[in-house]
Amino acid sequence: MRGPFVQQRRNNEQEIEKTPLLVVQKIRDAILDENFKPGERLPEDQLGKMFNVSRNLPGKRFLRSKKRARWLWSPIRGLF
Amino acid sequence: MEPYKGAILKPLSPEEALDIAELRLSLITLAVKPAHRHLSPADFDLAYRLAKQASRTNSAKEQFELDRRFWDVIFEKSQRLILWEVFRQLDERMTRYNPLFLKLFPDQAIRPRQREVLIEFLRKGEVDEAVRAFKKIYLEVVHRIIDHLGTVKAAVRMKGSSKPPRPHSGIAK
Repeated sequence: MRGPFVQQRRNNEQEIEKTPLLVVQKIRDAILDENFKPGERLPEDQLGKMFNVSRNLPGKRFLRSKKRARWLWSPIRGLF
Repeated sequence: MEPYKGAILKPLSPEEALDIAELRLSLITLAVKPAHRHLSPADFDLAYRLAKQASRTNSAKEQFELDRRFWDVIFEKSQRLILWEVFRQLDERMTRYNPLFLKLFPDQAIRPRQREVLIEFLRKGEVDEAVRAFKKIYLEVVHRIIDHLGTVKAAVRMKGSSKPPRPHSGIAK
């Protein structure tokens, strides 16, 4: 009986691990396609909508985390 | 007041471009020698094909991917994993400069071919010459980018200084 639940949990964990990578890839593609231009402000809500990640999803957390991509700059946290 | 949430895509800067270029060059120099010993004829063919495609494409995304695959061949064979990791991190930072490169070198026929030159010399076993030739072309590209960014920066500064100075808020009217 526990099988499907364990599998579901594993899938969720894999999804959590994969999401930041997918977001990084999407931001990178947006930069390369010039949908994002250097110096441009990227509001969190807009990023979330654009990449289809809601507030509670790992992607959204990634956008707020220190681990996020190296080309982004946050006025609150500074450069990283 | 709601705190600012979001991010800014870091602007391009001549200083950053130079730092990235110098670090990349050092990593490439360190990786090429050990890689050369392990590169097979098939690896040379693949790397050359990727280099050629990267020089000819007009898509920044495609160029990024081909360039990454090209350097993956070299760094994988060098077996220097830390160098490879740092190189990839720099690659990410360089993403913002890829569209600019295509704007500065729009003509495929006269676009710099530093990667192809590197492979041509490596195939002949001339490792030092390969690095030297690569470095020469690469630095020409970098200086072109830096010059362009410097010009843009100066123009922005000039535009800013031509505005009338802002009045001090403390002065009574």
